[in-house]
Amino acid sequence: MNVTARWKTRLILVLILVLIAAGIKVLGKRYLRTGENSVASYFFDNFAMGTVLTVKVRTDDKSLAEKGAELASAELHRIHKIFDPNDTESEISSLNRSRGSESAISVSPDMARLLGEALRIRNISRGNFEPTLGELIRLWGFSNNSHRPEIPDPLRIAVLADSLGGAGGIELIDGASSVRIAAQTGALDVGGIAKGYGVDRVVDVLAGIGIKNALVNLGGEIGVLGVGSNGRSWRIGVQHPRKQNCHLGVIDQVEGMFIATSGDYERFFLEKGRRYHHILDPATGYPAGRGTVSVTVIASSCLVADALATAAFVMGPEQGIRLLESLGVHGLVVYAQDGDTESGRLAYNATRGFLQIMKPELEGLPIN
Amino acid sequence: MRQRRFRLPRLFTFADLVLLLAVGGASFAFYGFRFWQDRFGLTEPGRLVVQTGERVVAQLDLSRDTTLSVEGVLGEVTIVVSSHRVSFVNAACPLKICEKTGEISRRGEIIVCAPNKVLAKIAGGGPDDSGGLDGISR
Amino acid sequence: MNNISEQRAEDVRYRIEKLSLVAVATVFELVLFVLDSAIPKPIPWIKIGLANIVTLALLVGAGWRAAAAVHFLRILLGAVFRGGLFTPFFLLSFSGGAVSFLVMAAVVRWAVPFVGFVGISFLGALAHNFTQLILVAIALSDITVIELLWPAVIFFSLLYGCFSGYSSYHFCRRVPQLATGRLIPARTKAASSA
Repeated sequence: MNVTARWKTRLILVLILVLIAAGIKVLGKRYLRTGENSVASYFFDNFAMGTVLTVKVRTDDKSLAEKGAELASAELHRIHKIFDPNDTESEISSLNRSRGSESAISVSPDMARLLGEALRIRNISRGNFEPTLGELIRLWGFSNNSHRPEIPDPLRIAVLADSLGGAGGIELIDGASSVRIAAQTGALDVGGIAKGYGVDRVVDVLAGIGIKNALVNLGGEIGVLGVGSNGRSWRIGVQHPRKQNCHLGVIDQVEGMFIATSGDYERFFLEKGRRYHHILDPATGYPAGRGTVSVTVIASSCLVADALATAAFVMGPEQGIRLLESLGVHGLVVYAQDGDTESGRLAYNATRGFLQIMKPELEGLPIN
Repeated sequence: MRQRRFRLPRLFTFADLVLLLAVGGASFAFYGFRFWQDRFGLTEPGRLVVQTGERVVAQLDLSRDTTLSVEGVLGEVTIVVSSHRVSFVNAACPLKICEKTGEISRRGEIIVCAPNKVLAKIAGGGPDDSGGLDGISR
Repeated sequence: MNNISEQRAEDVRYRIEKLSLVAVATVFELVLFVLDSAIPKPIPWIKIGLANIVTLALLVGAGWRAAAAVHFLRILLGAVFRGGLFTPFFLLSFSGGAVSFLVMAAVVRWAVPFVGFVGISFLGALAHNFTQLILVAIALSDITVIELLWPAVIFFSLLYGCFSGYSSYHFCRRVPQLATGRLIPARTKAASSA
């Protein structure tokens, strides 16, 4: 074999070798990536607080994960007993019955904490988040499970909306260990933020037994501990408000985050082409109509995230984002560009901090 | 032996080539096979676990198209399995949030009818994790 | 023709040759070993196997005894220099080295000229790395390590094996004295160097 031919064969052989090796390497990298989550993940799904609780725990200790799931369920069960508006025996129901009484009623630490936060957020949102909409909520019927909601009598709505007491209605005494509610105040209904509170409590419970990495998802309200299976962060998608199986983007850079989304796409009904959803505007008694379609808030606690998401939803895309910016939380408001939430095109407004975390894709990214 | 005849072996024989190609090719093939399996969820048959409240009432094989009616707290909920995808139809609940959830197909995903306390989750088999998402905020 | 004194002279020369060969080759391997450890690699624990270039050359040119001496001396001394005698790393290194030596020696003894340098090196590298992988899995009681890393092992064995096989071949061709140990040209007509 002469010199050039010899070199040619060598070259060909090297090429074949490289090709095979590269092929293996490429596939290997792909396979290796799924092996990064070498810590086991345990998933638990349960019913809690009228919705579903999903807990994902990353740990090598299976019994720890199971214990965490049990404690999580138990904690939510306990919290539900306190805040369930449909349960006449719940603490919140008895508190509502005590309206107008002279003496203050002592309340549990959970109730105290939640009420304290709720009133604080009512103040900073200038009443757009209102915890005393109990009668209106029952009137609209989104919380009941037995029959489909319908538009209530406008007169009744007007009466209830007008009668909502101002800030003086609820008095927290002795550092909120007891509460006095004035007679004209609306009934307390903290349905949404109770779930947020539940998520915060579950995260505390899990951390308390030594779990380092977990994700708690209670009906779409999310709290995390530690990091997810990519070793850097949990990856949370934001549901697209108008397209099934689509999300607007992924939040994956913030550790220890709590995320809540308020939207008009789950609890709603359509009548004559108009959408009636469950987020009521305290000023009118009707579903908030400033064109908001969904609000996502990332905050330091799920309770706060939920309350602010509700407030921002009511306030609309501009005021809502302004409120969130002023409080230093990250948020995204998706709204109908021309005000028509049914056929209108969507647009979004977000805090600067939120945009650094995620750039919303309004066309929607497929979940699967 | 002091005087060894030093016969220098060849650098790269045909047998070498065969060896390299065989080992290389075999691993490539095996890998590709596993990769393909993983991708199309054929490592294990997909399984749908359906529960009402705490109780598991059915485990469906996702590879077979089925329709199952489950009795919930308020009434019936119908679960449809079609082309490895699961959805809820005809649920006896006022807001039909479960129906609005759409289809699920990956391991770990769930659809739930909360008023009826009916939960369907995909366990085992199928590509895992909703496209890398650990949860959806909604 | 060889009277006793000439024969004895031959013996002495033979022994000196052998000793020199082992000494020089060991030094050579040690240097290569250190160099090998210093080169940055995507997976640091899968070494390029530069030292094995000499081991293979010796196997082919000077017989398995000389090769074994050099190879194991190198492993030992290499561990001593890196402060690792009687540590787990030494055990890994030794086991990998031992198995790969056995494999290469066997191939050279029985499969040459059917198999060439590249093939021998490849098999040696495979043996070395797989032995180490298996031992690591046993040590960590974690079998998934194998599941994760075997493609990497094969890939790098292919790559490094071919390289060291190629180097060894050319080493033998250019510096046969070092491979065979015939450092001193023979004075009698009977001895010859290839």
